[in-house]
Amino acid sequence: MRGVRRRAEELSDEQRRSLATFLLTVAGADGYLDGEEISILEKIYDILELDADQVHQDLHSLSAREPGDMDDGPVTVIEGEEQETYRVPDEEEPTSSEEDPSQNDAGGVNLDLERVSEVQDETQDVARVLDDVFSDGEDEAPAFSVDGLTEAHESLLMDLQEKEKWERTKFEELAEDHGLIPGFAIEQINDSAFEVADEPLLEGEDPIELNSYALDALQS
Amino acid sequence: MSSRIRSRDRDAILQSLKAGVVPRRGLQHIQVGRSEEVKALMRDVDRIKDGGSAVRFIIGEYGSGKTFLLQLVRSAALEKGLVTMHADLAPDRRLHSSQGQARTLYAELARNLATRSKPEGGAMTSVIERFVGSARQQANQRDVDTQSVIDDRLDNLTEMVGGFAFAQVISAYWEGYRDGDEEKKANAIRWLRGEYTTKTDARKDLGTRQYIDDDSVYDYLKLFALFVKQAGYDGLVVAMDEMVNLYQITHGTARKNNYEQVLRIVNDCLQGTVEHLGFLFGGTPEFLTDSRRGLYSYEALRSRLQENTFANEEYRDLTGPVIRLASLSPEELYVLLQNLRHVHAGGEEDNYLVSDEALEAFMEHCAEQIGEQYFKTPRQTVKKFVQFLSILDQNPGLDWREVVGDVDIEPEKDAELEPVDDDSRDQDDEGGEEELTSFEL
Repeated sequence: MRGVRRRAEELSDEQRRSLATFLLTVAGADGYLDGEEISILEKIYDILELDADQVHQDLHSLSAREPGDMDDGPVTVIEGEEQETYRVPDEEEPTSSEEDPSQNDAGGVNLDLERVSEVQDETQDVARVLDDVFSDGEDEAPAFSVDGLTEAHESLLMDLQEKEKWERTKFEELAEDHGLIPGFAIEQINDSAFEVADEPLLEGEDPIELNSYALDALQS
Repeated sequence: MSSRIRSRDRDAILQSLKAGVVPRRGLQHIQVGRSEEVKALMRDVDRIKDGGSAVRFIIGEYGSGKTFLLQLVRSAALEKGLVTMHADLAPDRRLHSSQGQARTLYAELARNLATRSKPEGGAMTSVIERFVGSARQQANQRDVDTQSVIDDRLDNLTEMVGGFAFAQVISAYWEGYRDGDEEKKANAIRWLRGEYTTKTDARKDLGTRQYIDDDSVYDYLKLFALFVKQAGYDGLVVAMDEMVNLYQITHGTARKNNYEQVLRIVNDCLQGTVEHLGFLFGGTPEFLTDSRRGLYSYEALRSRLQENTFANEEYRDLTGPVIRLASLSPEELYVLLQNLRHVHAGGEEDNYLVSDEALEAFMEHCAEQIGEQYFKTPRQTVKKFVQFLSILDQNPGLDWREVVGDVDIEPEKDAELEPVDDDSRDQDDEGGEEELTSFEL
């Protein structure tokens, strides 16, 4: 191995990077990387004087799907490192980026409009999925809650409307007066509020606040 | 994009993002892309609701949105009638330990117990009162004793490890309620929050010699899942973030013991031996695949978590427990800014403060300030963008072109994820007392 290490020292940084990535793709060519393969890759990274932890980040970028990547086109196995991969290593190039207008944008923003619209499509798609979750009436009533609210709840609600904010202890006394267990009453009332308004009626720990939007919806 | 955005959600989103943290609510309004991943996770939640189980490892680099996705799933679970617990792992919060770190993790999870009514946590009392209250209601309807309804409902818990003590404590809460004994109620809640640390205290206050200790954390999470079902919820989702803390444990045996707990959870959830229970873990790539200290260092876990390496649309495998998140691309950041503009405008297109052109100019400015990686760790960019919108909002008539150049953005440093003990990598297992070896100047 000593010989390998010595020869590795002669490689340029770029050559080491592309060799490492190449080996990573070879190791994963069968679709899986097992533990032994990963530990060998970690050693190779070490020989190449690359950070061994980089293996996991490189593997991650190969494995993670690029969101918006919904087309059926050829699969990107590995992103090409443009310009760099095919450059003859030792050739000196004049650094004339300031004279070349196309190079001015190098650090800037070049949005791929096609990608933007793919991402927007996928975002719309996920928004639909989430809208179904967050704004619907599909929720089944919890197993042990009563259908709607009892008279005790309704009279408690009548009393609560007097104020927008209730101190916790005052609220608890009031609930007890109506023969209700405070924590349970809040949950039940809020369940009903979620059903009609998609929002809770009683919010906060202390004080407890009445949400006027949900109150209007409950009353109608 | 057209659904009503509650002003409460809008304010919560904007406030959190301004502070650089993931919002606790309204996440559905800003999620960009990742529809397949989100769908898979929503199916998980449905499976848990239907009495099944699920486990997922959300793997991504710093800034890729792990925490965001965990929060999104958590709030979706609440919306679907489940309860959730969440905690970040830390040096003093682990899955296994003999010095109280596991109990501390449980205590943090219990403190963050959330329901749809209390999405931000602190719902322990509500959950217990819902159980007790509905039992009393049922007892009144059937004209029987409340205690007997409670006993009936807790019957299937008592067969499990720790279940008898758990049932005793719930009964104690009911007795405290019935007798107006506030202290007894408070003690029961403290016990359930994992705040008891001796048998003597538990026995004196609640008549049980057991308490939630390091060794029983997972058992009590399983009991909790059954209990919340009996209280009328549809199951329990437990989210643990910053799992890299397990990877950072220097002591080999301590680390392995923690991974054994992870394995127990993975086995139970994959084999369906637990009900109404799901786990979400957030971690970095090396936490997963590092062959010396990651989950892959533990053969039994590696074989269960091994993924199809080269994902693509056709073969991508989201049935396995690992979901990998790619870092954001500039295009995704752009759509994220569009979403934020939408949220800021309360969902009304007519109220948009700036044009698409301004979004691009803003990104251009970020790239100039912090270089071409600006889009990979979007926290700063997002924070500044929200501030940028606020300035425009507060100064009507001000042209965005005058403001955009003044926005100062600093590059982010991933400080908390730096390994604490880079040098000790090779002598890990000989390290002896972990607390001492990791204490370096």
